[in-house]
Amino acid sequence: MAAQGGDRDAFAELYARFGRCVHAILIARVPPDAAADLAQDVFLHAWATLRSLRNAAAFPGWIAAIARHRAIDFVRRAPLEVELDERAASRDEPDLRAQAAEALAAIHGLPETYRETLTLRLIEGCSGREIAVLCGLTEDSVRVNLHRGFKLLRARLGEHGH
Amino acid sequence: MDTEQDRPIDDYLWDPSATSSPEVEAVERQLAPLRFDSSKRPLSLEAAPAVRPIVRLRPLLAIAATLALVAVGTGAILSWRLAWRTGAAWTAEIENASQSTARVETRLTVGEPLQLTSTNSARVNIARIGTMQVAPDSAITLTETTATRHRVVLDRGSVNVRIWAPPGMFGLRTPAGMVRDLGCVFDLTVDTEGTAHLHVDTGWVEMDNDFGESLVPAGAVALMRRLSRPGVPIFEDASDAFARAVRAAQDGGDAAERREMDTIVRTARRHDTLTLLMLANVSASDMKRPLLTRAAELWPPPQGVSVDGIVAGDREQLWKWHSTLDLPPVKNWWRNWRDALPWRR
Repeated sequence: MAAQGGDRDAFAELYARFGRCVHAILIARVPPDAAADLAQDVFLHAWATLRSLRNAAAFPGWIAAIARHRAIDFVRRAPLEVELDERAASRDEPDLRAQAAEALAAIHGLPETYRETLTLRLIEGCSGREIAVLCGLTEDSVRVNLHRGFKLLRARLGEHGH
Repeated sequence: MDTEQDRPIDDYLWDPSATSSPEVEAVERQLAPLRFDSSKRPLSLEAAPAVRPIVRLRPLLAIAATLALVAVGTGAILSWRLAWRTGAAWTAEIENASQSTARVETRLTVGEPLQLTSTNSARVNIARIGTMQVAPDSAITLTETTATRHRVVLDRGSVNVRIWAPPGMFGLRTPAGMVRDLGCVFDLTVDTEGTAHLHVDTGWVEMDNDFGESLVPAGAVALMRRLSRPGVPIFEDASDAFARAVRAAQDGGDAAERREMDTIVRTARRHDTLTLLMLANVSASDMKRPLLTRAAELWPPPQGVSVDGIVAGDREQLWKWHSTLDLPPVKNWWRNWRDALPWRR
């Protein structure tokens, strides 16, 4: 992989390609604005440690694992719910952001198994196959998670009048 | 999965490029403000520490360790091969030619001759540096054996010698002179007149006596007669006419050489340049020129070397020319390591 040799352009391409996926993994666990900042942190960390990646083909799973660790670290330090409320209220488009924050809160309320699959699919538009690679799951597992997760999400959003 | 009406939802959930599901699309729209756009959040790699070049230390260390082991192992094997207690007996097997299964193990001690009958041959271990197959009717005597020098007298008969050791460690004294191994495989026969007939398979062999010396490379043969200068090397693929003429020229003195000169010059091939140069080296001055002129036609001399210069007596020029020929390097005996393999004995 050219990026491992220090090629910044090649790494920028990786960022453009996998940035959404990393963001989806983060936003499944942390508040939206924090997720965007953390996504950048994850890639900066990856850039500094890219040489430790022995198999270039394993990059998607590797960067996904970094993102999960980063999210866990963040949650330990910052309580999720307070952040959600404060940040949702501070945006320029309060209605849309509030609705989005509400839907995200519904996802955060789901069992952990479904959160990441749903944010990858519904926020960042990843396909089932992409999700399988990023999450290290079989395609069948992803199908089940999407189906059951969306069913639960629909029920939760329905409870809130959508 | 649960019901048939969920199928469009499931299909679209699995593949966003499939026919859309209004229900899923509604949620996507609701979550859209949260979508990440990397172009609006460019990475600032300039400030980040650069990725250090990948240096695969483990494979490099493994290769280095393997090379070190091979070097140490090779060194140990080589030292073991060369080490030898002064005067220690060599081992040998006497074989009956009519019964290949009848073998007698024996020892060859310094000063004690080994004389084979017409029905016996022997395989002698030359300390640990090689082997010598001794043909029936041969007579040999081990005269000296130390860690650096092994000498045998071959009074008559034939031997096939296979050595892998530094040049000069092994030598055979014949009635005509000394035959010294320079790291190689060769056959040597001493006939009833005491003439040594040498054929070299790999590497080089040196023949010398009180009248001169001759270096013989792989693929060449040479003779060494009593009370005569050792013969020049002649490649075994040379034409019969060329080989006969060269031998006649050497055996018959200046008159014979003048007589044979036309045949030698006419029948020489490019591969015979070594023979021409070596013959010119030992010829009378008036016969050097035709030999060198023909050699120059077949294998042009390098810059700074001329026929005139050599004829005028500059032997350095002749050896400079000799060094350009396509011959194995004398000093690289270790390159013939295959000769040491047990299954080649």
